[in-house]
Amino acid sequence: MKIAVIVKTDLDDPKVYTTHRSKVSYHTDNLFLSQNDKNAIEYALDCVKNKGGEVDAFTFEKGILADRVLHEALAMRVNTATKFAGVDVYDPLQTTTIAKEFADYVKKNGNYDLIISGCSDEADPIEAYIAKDLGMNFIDHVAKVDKEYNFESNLEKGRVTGKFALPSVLTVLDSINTPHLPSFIDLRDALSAKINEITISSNDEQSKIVADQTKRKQVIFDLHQDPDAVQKLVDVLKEDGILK
Amino acid sequence: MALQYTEQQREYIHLAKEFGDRYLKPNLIKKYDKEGECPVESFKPAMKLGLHMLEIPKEYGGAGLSYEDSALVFEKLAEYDAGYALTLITSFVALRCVMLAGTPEQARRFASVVEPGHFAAFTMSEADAGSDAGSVRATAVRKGDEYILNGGKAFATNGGVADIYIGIFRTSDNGNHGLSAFMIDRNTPGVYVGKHEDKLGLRLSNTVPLFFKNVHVPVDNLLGKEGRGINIALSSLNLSRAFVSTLTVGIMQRALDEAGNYANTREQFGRSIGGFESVQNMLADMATAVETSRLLVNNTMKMMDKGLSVRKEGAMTKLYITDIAQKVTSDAVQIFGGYGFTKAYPVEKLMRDVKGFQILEGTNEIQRMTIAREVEKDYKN
Repeated sequence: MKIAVIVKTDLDDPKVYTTHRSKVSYHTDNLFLSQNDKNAIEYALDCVKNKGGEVDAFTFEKGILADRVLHEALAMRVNTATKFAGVDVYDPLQTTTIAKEFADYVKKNGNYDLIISGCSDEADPIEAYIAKDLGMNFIDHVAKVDKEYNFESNLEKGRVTGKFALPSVLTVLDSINTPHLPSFIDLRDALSAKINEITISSNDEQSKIVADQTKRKQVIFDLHQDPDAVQKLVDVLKEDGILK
Repeated sequence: MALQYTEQQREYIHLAKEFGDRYLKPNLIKKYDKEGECPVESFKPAMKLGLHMLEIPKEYGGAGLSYEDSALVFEKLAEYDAGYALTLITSFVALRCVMLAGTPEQARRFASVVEPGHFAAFTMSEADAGSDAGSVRATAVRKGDEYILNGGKAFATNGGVADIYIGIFRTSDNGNHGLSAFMIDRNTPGVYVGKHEDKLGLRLSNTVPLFFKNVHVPVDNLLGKEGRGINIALSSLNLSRAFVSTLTVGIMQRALDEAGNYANTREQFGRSIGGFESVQNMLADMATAVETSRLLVNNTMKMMDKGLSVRKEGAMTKLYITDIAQKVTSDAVQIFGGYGFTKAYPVEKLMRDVKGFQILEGTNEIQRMTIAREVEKDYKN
């Protein structure tokens, strides 16, 4: 059985680094292998433990973060680690290119039975594009799954249950299992292990993120004194795009 | 942060943090601290990760991390509980002593006990021999191809949970030079473990008196030669002193984090107390203490990794850090105000834990004596 796990970073301590506390900091110091990806790796290792096979880790992260997440994956005992360099996976203009390159790699190097990744906050996950390019089923937000491929997936107001056939692409939540922590010996060995690299290029121009610099004058909505205060507050919130 | 981590160190620290978040949850630590017993079962996950053999070379089953990297891992663990971290450190420091002073065969024998997931302990202090190691009275008398041990030991860290000890016993009436070190299997007939000490702090760390009544140990269990016990004890102290310093840094970091967060949320007189100059000054001093202490420990560990003598530097590190930690943890309690004085918040425990480190592994008064002697040598020459 061949399983590919696509790994990425996430903030180390979501309790500390949240927008609510105005401490969002995507500094590389704070980014490590995402929790959901660890669950994905654990599921993959469990599958090959029972059925035989290999687990290969891939990442589209850049620079030092690519090495970091792959080292963590190797410490968990995946078989190989490969980074796709030269593109920005967080640039929506490059998603289809990256997905296609990965799909071409998979077709060339022997098809995977399962491609699995941890759920992210992305509304448009790259895994969906990969599934489309490879002609595989895509099952998102898997909350429960067993070795016979029976799954339960979360929807906003319910759930989907079923049994997927191979090959399939899944994204999983942290409820599927409890991933093991690697030993320090495994981590030490992983830090010096080989990481493969595939360079890809995109013809698309890179998109840019522009922060909104407009500042609003301080407004006080006195709910006790002004009968129209509530409506005024609603109007401002609609103007700022917070209320639709 | 003043100390710039390598990528490797960042990964090690992150793994330690993941371990702490998963297995050393605050409510569990609070429960164990209240009970005052070493939670032996809770160390199984730590041993599975190899935390009890972190610095030990690969050929003995360890992870083979440098002192520098190991210190950073244990600093992170100490943020969760210093007593827990101390238990793990005590084991591998004892093994490291055997590796330094004993034969490879002795080291392999000792490692074969510890590596599968057991504790080790080092015991020298007695009721009347604390700082004055030369007053050790427990005896080891040679009879044929074995020694017979008799006597009592006090304040043995890990003594009640260890499967193997290194013990310092008197083999001749020659003051410090009459002391020798032995490996002792805890299950040897005649070894008795006393009542666990009900301590002020570091309550997850097991501390017991030990009693040896006609304990027969083979000659092969003597480490080095007769009379080398004090040197072996000092080697052990050099190591454990440095690691105790790193644990203290972890406690201080935790104190700073707790106090800093509290200062930004607690409001008095219509504003957060973190806005008041007196609180800001305390936080500034605390942060400076943490950073300077971390750098000092890191330098000492680097020296140890290079095989340099750290008699002076180790003593300075331990003295400075454990003394300043008293102020840092006390200020943390002060920032919490009345709540800091209760067990509802973790800062009072940090203050209790730190006090132990001013005494363990050589009191700070002894550290001053050691430093003074070394400084005197520097200026005499």
